[in-house]
Amino acid sequence: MDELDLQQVNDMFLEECAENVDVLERGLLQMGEGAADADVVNEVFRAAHSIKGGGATFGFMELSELTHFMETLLDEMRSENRPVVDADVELLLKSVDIVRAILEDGGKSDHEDREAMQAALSASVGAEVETPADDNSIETSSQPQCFTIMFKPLPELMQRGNDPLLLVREVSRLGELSLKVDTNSIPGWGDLDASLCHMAWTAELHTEADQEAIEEIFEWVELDCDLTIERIEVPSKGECNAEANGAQDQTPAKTDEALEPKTPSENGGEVVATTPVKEKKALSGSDRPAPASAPAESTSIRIATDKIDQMINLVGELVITQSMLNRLGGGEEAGDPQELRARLAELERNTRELQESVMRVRMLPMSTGFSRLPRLVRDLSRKLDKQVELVVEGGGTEIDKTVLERMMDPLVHLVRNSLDHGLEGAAERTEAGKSASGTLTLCAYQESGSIVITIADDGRGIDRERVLSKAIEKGVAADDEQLTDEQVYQLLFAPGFSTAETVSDVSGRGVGMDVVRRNIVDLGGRVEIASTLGKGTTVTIRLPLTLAILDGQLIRAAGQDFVVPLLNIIETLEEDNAHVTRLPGSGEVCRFRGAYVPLIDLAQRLRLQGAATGKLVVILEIHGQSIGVLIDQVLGQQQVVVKALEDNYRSVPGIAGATIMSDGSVALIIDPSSLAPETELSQVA
Amino acid sequence: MQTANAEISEMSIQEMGEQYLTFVLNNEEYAIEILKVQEIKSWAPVTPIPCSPDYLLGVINLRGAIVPVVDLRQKFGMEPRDFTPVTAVIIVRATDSEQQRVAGLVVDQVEEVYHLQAGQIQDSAGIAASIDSKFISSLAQIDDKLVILINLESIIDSSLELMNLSDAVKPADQIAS
Repeated sequence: MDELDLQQVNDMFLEECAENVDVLERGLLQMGEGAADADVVNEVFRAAHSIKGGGATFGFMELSELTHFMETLLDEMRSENRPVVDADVELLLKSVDIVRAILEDGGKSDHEDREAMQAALSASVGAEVETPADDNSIETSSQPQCFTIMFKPLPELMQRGNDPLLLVREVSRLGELSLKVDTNSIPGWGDLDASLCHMAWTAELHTEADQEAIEEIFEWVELDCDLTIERIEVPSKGECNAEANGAQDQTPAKTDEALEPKTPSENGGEVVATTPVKEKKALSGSDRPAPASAPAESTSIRIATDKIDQMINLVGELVITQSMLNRLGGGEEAGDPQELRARLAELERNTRELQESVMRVRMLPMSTGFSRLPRLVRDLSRKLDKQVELVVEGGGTEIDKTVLERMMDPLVHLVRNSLDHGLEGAAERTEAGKSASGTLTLCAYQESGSIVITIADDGRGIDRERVLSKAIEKGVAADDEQLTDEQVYQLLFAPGFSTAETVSDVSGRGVGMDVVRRNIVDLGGRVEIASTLGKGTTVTIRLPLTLAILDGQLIRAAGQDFVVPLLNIIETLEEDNAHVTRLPGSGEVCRFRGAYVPLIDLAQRLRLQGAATGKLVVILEIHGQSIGVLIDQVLGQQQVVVKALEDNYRSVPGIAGATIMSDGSVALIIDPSSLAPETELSQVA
Repeated sequence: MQTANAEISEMSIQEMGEQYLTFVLNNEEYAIEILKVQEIKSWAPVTPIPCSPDYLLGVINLRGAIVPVVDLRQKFGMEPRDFTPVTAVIIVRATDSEQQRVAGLVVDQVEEVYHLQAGQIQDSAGIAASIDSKFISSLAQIDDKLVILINLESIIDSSLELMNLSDAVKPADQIAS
C-alpha cells in the first residue's frame, strides 16, 4: 500500500515537474527575445527551484543536480549580476531538454548528456563572474564572511505553515551560526496563543556562502516577516574564523545547539552596532511585489472550480426538476399536463446544460498545444537561417483534450513545412519586396460546432504548376486531368508526394503530409490549403469540438437502426429522383446536383441480414467527395454519446462505434469514411 | 482493492475447492469458474454487428458498456435453437495479457453451482468430445455425471480476436469484386 501511495506521489511530482519545465521553457524563450523582464527571470528561477527542491525530496537526484546548476546560472541573471545573453539562454534551453528527457524516462534514469551539460553550465557561471557588474558579485568568492541576520517574524508566520525552527536550521547549514532570541514581546501566560509567534531572532553567521544564499532561505517567508541581512566587514580572522563547513549541502553538527534560544555569545549583539556596515539590503514584506500570477497550466486535467460549481448547480436544479416531476406524475390524480410538459422541457434543458458542462471538463485551451511551438519555431528558424516571427492568436479557444493531443503532431508538421518550404530566407524576401522577417500566424477559433485552426505564412506560396507536374511525374495525377486549385493542393497530401528539391532533415521526404491528413481525418476533421503564389499559404484544419458526443442522424437499413454523423450528410433524396444507374463493372451511380456520384447500398455493404427496401438515398460528403448511400428510412436526429466497440470487442469495418439509444438498445454508428468506394486508390493505380 | 479481494476469496475457496457454475448446451452439462462470471441475464434481443461471424449474435448495452454476445451453441458447432424463457446470457470476464474483456455467452439453461475438489477434476486429453478440444480445459466428475470445464479465455479470444484477420479482409474483397 505504501509502495502504491509513493508511486502516486511520484507520478504527481513528475507531472508537476513537466508543468514547471513548460514554464521554464516558455520563460526562457521570452528571455531569448531580448527583454529580460525581472518577472520572467523570477518565474523561470522559481520553476527551476521547484524542480530542484522536489527532485531532492523525492530522490530524483539527477534531476535536482542538473537543475541546481541551472538555478545557479539563473540566480546570477536574477540578481542582475550578469546580462541575459543568448548563449546562456541557449544553454539553459538545452538543459531543459535534458530535464524533459529525464522526466520522460520516469525521472530516475540518468541521461548521458547531463554531466556534460552541468559542466557547461558551471563553466558558463564561472566565465561571466570575471566581469562583475557591481559589488554584489564579490559574494561568490569563497572568502569567509560574516552576516548578521535580524529575523522578526510576524505573529501569524506559523499559521501560514512556516516554522522558524526549520528556517534557522537551514541557515545554520551555511556556516557557523550564533543565535540570540528576543523574547520580550511574548505576552503573559493568560494571553499566550500557541499558534502565534512572538519571538524574534538576531543571528550572526560566519559563512562562505553569499548573501543570496541566505535570502533564498527566507524567500518563502519574505512577506511574513521583517528581515534584515547585513554583511559585516570582518575585523580579524580570529573573530570571524571561517570553518570549512560552509558548503551548502554539508550537514552541520551544530544545528541543534544553535536552535536553542540562548543568551548572546561573546559579541553577538554588539557587532551590529560597532562594525562598519558595507552594504545593507533590507527586505520587508511591503516593498516587494507579489509574485506575478502565472498563466494557467494544464498538461493534466485540472478543473477550474467554477466549472465544478456550475455542474453542482446544474445537478441541484436537476434534482429539483426531478422532484417536481415526481409530484406531477406520481400523485393519485394526474398532474396538469401543461405543467408536466413545461417541467419536461426544463429537464431537457438542464440535462443538456449538464452535458455541456461535463464535456467542458475535458476541454483544454489551445494554448496548451500552441505553447510547444515557439521553441520549435525558434530552433528551426536558426537551423534554416531564416527570420521568422511567430504570431499566435486564439490560444484561449477550448478543445477536447484527446483531440488536442492527437492533432499536435500534424500541427507541428505543418509548422515545420511552413518554415522549411513556405517562408523564404531573408535575402529572397527582400528581393521579392517583403520584409526580411517572415511571419507565421497560428490562429484557433470556434466556428459552428468545430474548431478551426489556421497556419498561415507570408512565404512564397505554392506553385500550382510545379505541384501538378510533380504529381503527374509521380503518377499521383493523370496528365489530362482538369483540376481545380483546391484539388491540386490536395495532391500535396498524397502519400510519397514532396516537391522539395532537397531532402533536409526538417522536411521533404513526403511521408508527412499524408500522415497529417490521415491523423486529422481520423479525428473526424478535414484539412484544406489555400495559397497565392508569392504571397503565402494558409492551411486550415477543421476539427470536431469533441470526440465523445456526435450529432447523429438516425437511419434504418434492412430493419436495423444506425447513426450517421450529421456532419457528413449533405442531402437526402428519394430513390426515384436519384436516377440510379448501373454502370457495367463499377457498380451503381446516382445523380446528384447535376453530377453522377457513386452509390452504395448500405445493407449490402454491411452484409445485413434483414430485408432492405431501399427507398432513400443519403448523400454523404467524405474527403470532399460525395457519395450516395441507399437506405430504407430516415428517422430522427439526436446527439449520441460515442462508445468504443473495441473495449470489449474489436473494431468493425464500416462502424465507427456504438451508442445507446433512449430505449436502452444499442445502435451502431456508421463510419462514413470507410464507406467511400476505393475509387481514389484505383485511379492512382 | 480488487486484487486484494480476489486473493482473499481465492484463499478461502482453496479450502473447500473451487466453485463452478454449470450450464446446459444441447443436453450436455458444462462448467465455468464462478470467479469469471459477472452476472447472469435472461436473453434479450441484441444489436447485430455487420461483418461478424454467425456465432457472434451482436452487442448489448450492459449499464452503459457495449458488450458482445456469443452464442455458445453455434460457437461449439451445434445447431442453433430458438431462444426460450430459460435461455440465459452468462456475462463473463476474460482476462488476457492486455485487457479484461466482458462478454455474454448464450446458453440453453443455467444449472447449478458446485464446489469441485482437485481430485474431482481430470485431464481431458484423449477424450473425444462433441466440441473442439481447445475449448475444453478439463473434465469433472460430479455425482454420477461428467461435466466439461470450458476454457473461457480460449473461447473469448477465438470469438473476439482471431477472426479479426480473416473477417476484416472479407468485406473489402467482396465489395471490390
